[in-house]
Amino acid sequence: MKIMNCPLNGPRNISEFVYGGEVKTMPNALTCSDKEWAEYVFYSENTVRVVTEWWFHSPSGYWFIAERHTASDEILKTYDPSELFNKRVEFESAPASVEEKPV
Amino acid sequence: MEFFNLSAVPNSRKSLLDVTNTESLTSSIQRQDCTLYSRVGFRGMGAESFLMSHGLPIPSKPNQSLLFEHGLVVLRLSKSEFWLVDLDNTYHELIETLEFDAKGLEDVYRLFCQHSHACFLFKGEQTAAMFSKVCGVDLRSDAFPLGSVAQTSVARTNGIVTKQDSDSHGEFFLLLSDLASSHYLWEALADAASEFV
Repeated sequence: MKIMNCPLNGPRNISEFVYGGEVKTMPNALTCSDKEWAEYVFYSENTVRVVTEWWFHSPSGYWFIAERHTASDEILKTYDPSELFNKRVEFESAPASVEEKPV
Repeated sequence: MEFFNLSAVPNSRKSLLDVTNTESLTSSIQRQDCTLYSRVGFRGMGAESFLMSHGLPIPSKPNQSLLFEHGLVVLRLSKSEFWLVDLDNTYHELIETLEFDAKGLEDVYRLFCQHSHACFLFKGEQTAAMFSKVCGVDLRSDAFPLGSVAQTSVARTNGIVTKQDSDSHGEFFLLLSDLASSHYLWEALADAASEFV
């Protein structure tokens, strides 16, 4: 049985966790190109290294960050996201769409 | 509708369980369905001070619970999430008041555990042994003292388990789990309990 250490709940069966993707810096959705956005949302580098990832403990509804080696699959470290994010991420609102005028 | 109070019309709540199905099972572990009794959750950076200002005691750490007066279990599920669970259907007014008072407060958000979760109570000496059949966390008293909370998988459904002691029930385990799976879980646990005669 594979065990992961949840920073809130302690060691738990891996089946209680859901993968949430790599921790990446979000490009500005209003100014970035489609390619940049697609890379942020869909692509990962997939090389042998230690990756920083979002993981979710489903029974407690808790998101946290884990550092995992992609080759050995060893989980090196797990911690609360407040260690990386200490303020609320504000999403800039999209500019109001220009109303179409009847011809 | 601008505001709907989740504690409204408690007498109209109906159980999804067919308890008569499992009543015939003889077991030393007693089971009780508390799903129809009131409960509420609050989350947010202001939740702790909000509950304290209403005179409620708060567990000092996440994943701990305590008993308020005689039959209200206060669970702290994370730094900023609290659930209040009524054991004997005697705290409805308090829970309703809290819901109304939390309205419009900044940094205090109501949680919908009244309608999202079922609530079962188990008591009897062998309860921890029964849970060891369906739950990966060690719930025996040396590893899981009174007031502990485990948020984990119980019979393959997500559940919150806590242990408390009250005048009316003695020592008991409280299990909160997804309401939609409550019928399955009730029967699964009745089956698990049936071997402990």
